[in-house]
Amino acid sequence: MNSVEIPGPPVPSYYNESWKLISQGAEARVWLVPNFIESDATETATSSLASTVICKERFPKAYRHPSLDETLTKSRTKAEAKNLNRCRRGGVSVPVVLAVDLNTKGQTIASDSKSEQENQRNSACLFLEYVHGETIRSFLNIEQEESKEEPPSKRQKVDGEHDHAVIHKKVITRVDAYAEKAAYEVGATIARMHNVNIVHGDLTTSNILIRNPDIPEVTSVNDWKPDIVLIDFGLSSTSVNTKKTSNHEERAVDLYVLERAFVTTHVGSEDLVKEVMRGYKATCQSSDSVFVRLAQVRQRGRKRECFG
Amino acid sequence: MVSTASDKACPDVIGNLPVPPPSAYNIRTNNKGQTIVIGIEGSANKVGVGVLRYCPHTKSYETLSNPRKTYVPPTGQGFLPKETSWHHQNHIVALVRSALSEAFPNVKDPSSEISAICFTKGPGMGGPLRSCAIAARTLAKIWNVPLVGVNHCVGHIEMGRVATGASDPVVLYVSGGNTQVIAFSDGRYRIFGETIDIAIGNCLDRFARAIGLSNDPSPGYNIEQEAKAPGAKFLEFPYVVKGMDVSFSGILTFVEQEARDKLQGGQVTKADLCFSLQETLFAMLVEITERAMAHCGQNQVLIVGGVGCNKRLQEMMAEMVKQRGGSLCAMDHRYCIDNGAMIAQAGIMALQHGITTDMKDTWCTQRFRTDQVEAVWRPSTVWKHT
Repeated sequence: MNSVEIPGPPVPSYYNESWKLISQGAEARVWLVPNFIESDATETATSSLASTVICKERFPKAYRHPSLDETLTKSRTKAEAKNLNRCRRGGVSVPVVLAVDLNTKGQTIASDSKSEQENQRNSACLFLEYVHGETIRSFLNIEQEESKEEPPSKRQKVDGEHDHAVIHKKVITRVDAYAEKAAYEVGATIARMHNVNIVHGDLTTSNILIRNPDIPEVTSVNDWKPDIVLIDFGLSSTSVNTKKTSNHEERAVDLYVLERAFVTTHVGSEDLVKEVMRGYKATCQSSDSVFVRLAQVRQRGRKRECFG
Repeated sequence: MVSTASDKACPDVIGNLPVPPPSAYNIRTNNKGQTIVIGIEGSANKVGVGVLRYCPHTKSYETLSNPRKTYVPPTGQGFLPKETSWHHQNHIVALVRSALSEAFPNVKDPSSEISAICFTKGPGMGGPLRSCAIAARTLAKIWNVPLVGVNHCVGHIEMGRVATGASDPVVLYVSGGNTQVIAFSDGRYRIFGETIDIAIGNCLDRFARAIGLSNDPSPGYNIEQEAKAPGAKFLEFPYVVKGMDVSFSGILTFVEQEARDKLQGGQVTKADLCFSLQETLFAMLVEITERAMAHCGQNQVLIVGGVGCNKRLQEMMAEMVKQRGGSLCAMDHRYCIDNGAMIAQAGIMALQHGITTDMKDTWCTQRFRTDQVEAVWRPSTVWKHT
């Protein structure tokens, strides 16, 4: 997946060779930008942030109608930046927003592919703190040889990209005490986000990072505190609970999406889901109403079955 | 007689488990050792009978005949369960006769060739499903062959896999009653994203009714033609993607309102509405399909179901897949439109791996999720999605 040549649309005009494509998701391309802050900038201002940052580039989607494409690209980038800042102010661990560019002109690298329509459309870039860590998804996946068992500490490390198909290996879900603690903290982090009236909209185990995935052998569960970071607020929204409207629906859908992401990508993770819910319940201010709604959402999920 | 099976034989799908010999499960074969099944489909407004043959020497599946009848309701109306059932009851016997005589032109007693009867167990409309199930049970009793209940959605998928040779694609299933993004994982077809309210086809059909488009040949087709009008303007409609899921009911309400308020005064045209609706709905579908591809690390897409016939959807999907460096399987009538052969296809795969349905279990159900079926013909231990 991480090929050297850059597929798809033109790259941002300020792109240079030092940029590294780390993932091309459905929504955007994520670049690693090594020298975002000039080295002669004041040391104090940059000491907490490494000079390496992430550029999340929402590139034009050729399949979409240009005006729909522009609306979606801009509004999602704007919303993402705003909601990340709201989360940060509310004490939720998310990447720091460093810069936003809603009208990024493109430059074409490969001169042979001249698709004029694509060149006319601009992309939108969001510069974010680079979070060192691992996705919860790879944290929970333990790769095993088909026949013999390996100790859980031998889990693979992946920095955000997808694994390739491995035929002879089997992936099982990590369900030890550390995984449970991480799941609990995931629930608590989501609750803190909901407490500041943000709903994520796309909670999957790939969109939740853990800063400290490597647990030293000697550390006991009690001494280890998972440091959870929520990323990818591309589909996030704000929803305020007023007398007229309740935001329990959106919150419940958030939990439901995560629950399904767990069950579909991590076989045998039912107990982890319970931990997520426990962590959520302990931290969320209106968890009871959300859980009532969640029960309805699940029900709806089962019934939305098919005709014809 | 008009031929209904124009397609070449398709090799057994790569990625499936090897087909066991028929004797392993006491499957009756014809004197050439071939397994031949009949598939009966009637979950919505189409009733179809397909005859499908598996030849062990060439290891290939071939559709021998696949006739079909469609109930077309008057303009401004949808197809109602009662009328649709009557339609199916009226045509099913003639369809079986015509399917058999086309498949076995020179055979005196075609029933001796048949190994099993496959029928749609669900999901679908109750009345039409039961009408076809009764036909299936009757044939099974007369000919003394086993029955195989088939999930309609799995029928689409399996026919798509066989016809295109795509071993493990991400499937977008879009029809009048279903909108799902499906990928295979751990022995089942998992639903990665779906509609949280009405299906895409339902949304299009009801919109067509609201602006008075004909149901002949299908409402979706007429919307597609209308949208092609030169100068159709793009209007902004709600765009509802929730994670992997989509929602259409709000858009439908919105565009029905727009039609009521603005169509008569000429502020918008039917073409504008059709064009904008298609662009918006299909962009949502392509987006969630792309999400599923990114999630599963897959790069092949197969569109099945009636709405898959829409050229604009095909075009947009192809564009997306191109941008990702993947491939899109071509559209085909065998899996885009409901038919008997696709039920036979999913049924024969189950039959060959020893699955039949006892008479007492041959009831139908309106609710039958794609992920309820264990796809025993595919290896479940091979993990492709991590």
